[in-house]
Amino acid sequence: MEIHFSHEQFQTLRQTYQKWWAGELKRPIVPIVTYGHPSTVSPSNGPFLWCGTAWDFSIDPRQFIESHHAGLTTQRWHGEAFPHFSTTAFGPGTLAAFLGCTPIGAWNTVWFKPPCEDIPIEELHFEFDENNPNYRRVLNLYEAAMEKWHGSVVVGMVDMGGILDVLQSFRGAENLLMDLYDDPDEVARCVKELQELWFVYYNKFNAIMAPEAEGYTDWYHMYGEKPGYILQSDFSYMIGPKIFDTFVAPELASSAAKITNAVYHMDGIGQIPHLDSLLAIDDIKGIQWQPGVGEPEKQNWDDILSRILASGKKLIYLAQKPDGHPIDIANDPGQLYFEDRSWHINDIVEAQKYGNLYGIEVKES
Amino acid sequence: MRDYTELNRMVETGKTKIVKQLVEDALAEGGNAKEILEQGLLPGMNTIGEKFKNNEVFVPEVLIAARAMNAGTTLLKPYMANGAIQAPGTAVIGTVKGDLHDIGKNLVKMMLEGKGITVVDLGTDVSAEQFVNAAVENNAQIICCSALLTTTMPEMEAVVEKAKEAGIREKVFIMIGGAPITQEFCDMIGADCYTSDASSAADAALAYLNK
Ligand code: B12
Repeated sequence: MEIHFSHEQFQTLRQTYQKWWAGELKRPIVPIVTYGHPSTVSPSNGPFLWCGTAWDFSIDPRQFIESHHAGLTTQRWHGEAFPHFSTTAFGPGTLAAFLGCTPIGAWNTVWFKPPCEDIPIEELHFEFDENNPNYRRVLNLYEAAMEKWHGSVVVGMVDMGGILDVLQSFRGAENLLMDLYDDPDEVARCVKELQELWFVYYNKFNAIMAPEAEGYTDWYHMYGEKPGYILQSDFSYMIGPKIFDTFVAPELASSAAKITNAVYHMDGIGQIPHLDSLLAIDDIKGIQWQPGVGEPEKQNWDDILSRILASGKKLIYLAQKPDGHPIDIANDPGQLYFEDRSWHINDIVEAQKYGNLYGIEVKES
Repeated sequence: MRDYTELNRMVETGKTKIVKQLVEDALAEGGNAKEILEQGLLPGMNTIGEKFKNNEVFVPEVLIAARAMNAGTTLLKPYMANGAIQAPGTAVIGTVKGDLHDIGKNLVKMMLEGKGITVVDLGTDVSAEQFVNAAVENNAQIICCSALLTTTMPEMEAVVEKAKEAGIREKVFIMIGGAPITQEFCDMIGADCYTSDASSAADAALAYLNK
């Protein structure tokens, strides 16, 4: 076994997650990975999948799979960690690339250049294009991953973006902000078209994985027995609750209804005005809160965290400082998912100490 | 004096067409350009700035208000060429090198203009050298740098350094801002002023110019 994670371990993972979603786990979901274990596979020199290579068409996606495979053979997974292949490197809002924007990779990100500047909103029409090279590239990656791993490594859904984020790639942020007042009907039409297409791609990619997948994940690496997703709308950082409730909340509600255990990525203090609307969407089962750049980490976000917890939804939290630990304010630690240092522990003793905090046994396998 | 309540309200709510009409009417009736600007247009923008600061309105509302104000000021320009209105000063503004985020920067620009300050907009991806050269060329008293990426913040320090090299450090007020910027960072790089929002930025700029 080159990758040390068995079908039975996936079985356990599924059960743990089932309990967690059902509110029966009584402890947080905590993924812990240790690195540097012996392997029979020789280490890879790459090319690895990162933002700078993702859209480099001279690299066959198969090569990413091979180099990632070598890395996985040196890892072990504890708690709720599992072997996965992240596709975040394709950038935030890849749906824009499938629909005609040009992805431009930088060292830590990708942005999407529209086919031309200032296209009037009424001229924007979005259609599925089977032959779009960007779509083909991602599709080929999924096919290659299934061929290699037959589902035993969980391949993440690409970050297709929030609907208004994608529209913003085509229209430009400032134009779109004004469109909300100038052409609300056109914005609504575009949102509808993009949302439908979002699911066309989502379903296509999932269909490739479905026959053999041990599970699903997304750019946030939560495990899903069925296809899930962490929905987002970073654009909403800039708009008020009224516009959010008109253009974003209904879309999120209907998208969440089509996804198993949908979670919302709430990024930045600019999203706080929308919290009540988000909490009112039943099909959003969890909120991932991160304060955003420049916001003092030590600042007390208890009010936000308590409101999320009081709603009964799960709280997915990136805890960077122990004093910001929401475990102190959660009545039921089983409402929490911690994505903190847990993916980055090198040392088994440290991993054990960390696991002990939550009653998770870390074996030295 | 004319009653500008309606014009104020139309700027505030971003009704460009109506603002144009009201300014045209005022001019046709022999209204004074300076008065129309100062009593009719700028207060509307100031109100929206305050509301933005207090989270009562958000970015789109500020953008449409600024657009309405600009439509009004454009109509007034021909009447102001003879120096009837003395701008309190000039600021050059831009988003620093490597950074393409410009919404915050544009809001600061709009608020500065809302105070009657002349603004030279250098756009995005602006190098330290470009900031300083533009400040010299335009005799600007203020340089405003915006950054939204933690990776591009260091360019602000370069602006401070370049201003020293060019011998204008004592003559320019260097203001910095953007989501990741903090007062500590401002102190650390030796810039003159940080504010967390556009409306306070305009207040600080005007306070400096009126000093
Ligand atoms: C809109 C947006 C974009 C738009 C930008 C459109 C545009 N024309 O500006 C697009 C889609 C193009 C974009 C691209 C990218 N973005 Co972006 N983007 C944002 C977003 C959602 C909102 C930023 C914004 O406009 N806020 C609203 C304005 C009004 O706020 P503001 O800029 O802070 O300005 C206020 C104050 O700071 C102050 N102020 C601003 N400037 C100044 C100047 C002075 C002198 C003063 C005194 C005050 C002041 O006044 C303003 C009004 O009150 C943020 C999310 C977030 N949480 O902030 C991410 C964010 C800033 N982006 C981010 C990233 C990583 C990127 C990309 C690199 C990757 C990507 N593809 O997303 C590219 C970068 C391209 C580049 N080289 O710049 C990250 C930055 C992370 C970091 N640690 O650096 C953020 C935080 C998102 C995230 N969580 O990852 N982005």
